[in-house]
Amino acid sequence: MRIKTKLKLIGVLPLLMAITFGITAYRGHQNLRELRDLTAVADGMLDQTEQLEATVQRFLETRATQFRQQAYLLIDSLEIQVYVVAQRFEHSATAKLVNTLRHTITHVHWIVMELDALYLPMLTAADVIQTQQLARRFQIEISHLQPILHQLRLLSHHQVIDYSNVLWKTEFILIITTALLVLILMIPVLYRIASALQILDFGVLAQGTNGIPPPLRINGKDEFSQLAQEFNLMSQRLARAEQARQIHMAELENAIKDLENFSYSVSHDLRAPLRAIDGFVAILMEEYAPVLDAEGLRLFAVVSTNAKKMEQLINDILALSRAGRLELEPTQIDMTALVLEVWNALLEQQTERPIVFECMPLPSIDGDARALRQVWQNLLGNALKFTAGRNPARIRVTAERECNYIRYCVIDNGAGFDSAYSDKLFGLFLRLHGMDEFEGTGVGLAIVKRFIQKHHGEVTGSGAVGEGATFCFTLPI
Amino acid sequence: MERELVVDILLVEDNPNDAELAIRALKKHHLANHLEWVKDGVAALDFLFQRGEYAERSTTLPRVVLLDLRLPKLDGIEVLTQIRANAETRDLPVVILTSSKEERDLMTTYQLGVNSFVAKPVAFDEFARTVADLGMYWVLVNRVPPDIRND
Repeated sequence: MRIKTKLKLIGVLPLLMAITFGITAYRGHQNLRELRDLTAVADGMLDQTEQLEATVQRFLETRATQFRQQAYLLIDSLEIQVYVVAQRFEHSATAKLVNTLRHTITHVHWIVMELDALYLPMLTAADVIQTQQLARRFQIEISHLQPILHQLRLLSHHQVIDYSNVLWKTEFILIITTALLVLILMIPVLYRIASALQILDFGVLAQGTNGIPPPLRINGKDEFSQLAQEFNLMSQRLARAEQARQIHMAELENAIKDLENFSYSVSHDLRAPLRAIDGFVAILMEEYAPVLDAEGLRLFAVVSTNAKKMEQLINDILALSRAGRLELEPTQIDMTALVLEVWNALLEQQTERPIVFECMPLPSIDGDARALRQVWQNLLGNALKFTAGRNPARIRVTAERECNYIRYCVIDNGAGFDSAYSDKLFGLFLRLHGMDEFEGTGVGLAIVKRFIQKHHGEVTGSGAVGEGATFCFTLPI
Repeated sequence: MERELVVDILLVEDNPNDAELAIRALKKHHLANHLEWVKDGVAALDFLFQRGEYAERSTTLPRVVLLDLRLPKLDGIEVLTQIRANAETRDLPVVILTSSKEERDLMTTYQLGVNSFVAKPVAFDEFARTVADLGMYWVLVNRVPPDIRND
């Protein structure tokens, strides 16, 4: 049986008990009230008996109609009450007592009637004696009546106490029984819950360790066994995913290692043949110049230029690969100082030409100094390169603070580019200008993009042919 | 095989083209007369420790070792490690002359106590000038402790 069902059934038990308790209590209190009523009736009858005694006495003395009527009224009242009591307690222990009471009251009634009759129409001497006898009999009956009523009162009082005790006992037993029953029924359920939770807890703890954890075993057919099955399936899935992840990681690490070895080899081995080409061509041109004509010398010069270009390409590829592998060490960077430093270094390599350079005060930011220096070097270097034909060349560096990042821009009035190809700006080895126009390998902006992405920023470029270019990058604050 | 009695420069280079270019550059400045060229790390150590083929060599050490990093048999890092581990050669000037521009090579060799690290330029004019400058400096300008060479 499912635990939910069990709990529901156990929950119904106290409900049933509450209903039974209510009914018992209601019925019990009704009976109790009746018994209390009987006591009150006995008290009233005692009172009336005393009144009757007094009234009859006064009647005998005065023969006033007023007392006669009052006596009859009292007797009627007593008879009615006895009748009612007899009706109500027909089968109880009091029935016999009530019966005696009824008889006595009837006797009293007769005596009063006889006493009444003796005075009609005149009281004779014999009647006086009879009256005295009757009065005595009346006294005797009344004296019988009083203890009976006292007994009735006492009896009903005891009955009230006894019944009330019984009632409370019954209700107490009812509550205790229900509580015990619920407890007994709950114990296996609670035990089940506790042990299942413990097993589940161990299972969850075992998840943290390596490998596939042993499957959880919870027998039975309730929520916990179902949970354990699902948990086992989940941990199997998790273990499989973890295994796959580890294999993937290992593959990735191998790939990275291969890549590192590759770039190391490129760095080392690809340069040697280039050096040989350039070196031997140079020796040829130097030592065999007399036997070569002008065209021959030019062709060797082409070979030499290309060897050097190839070296630049290798250097740039390696720089890009290093950019990808660089682990950022963020520090607070004074951007204005960095830009001016990079700019002055670049300017030293430039031939003298009119250049108007403006750099507004730039906000400082957290970033990797080496990476950001390279970014500014490439962007400012490009600006210088592409403004080669301008008089004067204008290069501006600006910055603006947005809500959660800062945007830095380099704006020039150089050759610009066709914005239709702006998606190719940051691609590796992609160039928007011919080799004969501007030299370069098409790696600079790819490196910029890689560094800015590593800082979780974005880089954009805009421009138009002949109208300069604007390159901006954002860095999060 | 007749050998120079005293060697000033030990060139450890497996690439014959690079070696030829280096020797040519040194020759121009008359620095290649006392030069020994070996093609791998084992030969370099044999030369320095008078073993094997070089058992008969004089005990005088060169003024400088120009050491490539990528070498057959034993690579440059291992050669440098052994040079520094040996009491006789611990103070011997060693210059790494390599194509590599990798930071890790730079760090490793400096930690091992290299005297200089030079990346070979591809352009021949630069390469020739660099090698010539190296030869000039280490053979003619630099002075070494007396246990290596009594000047």
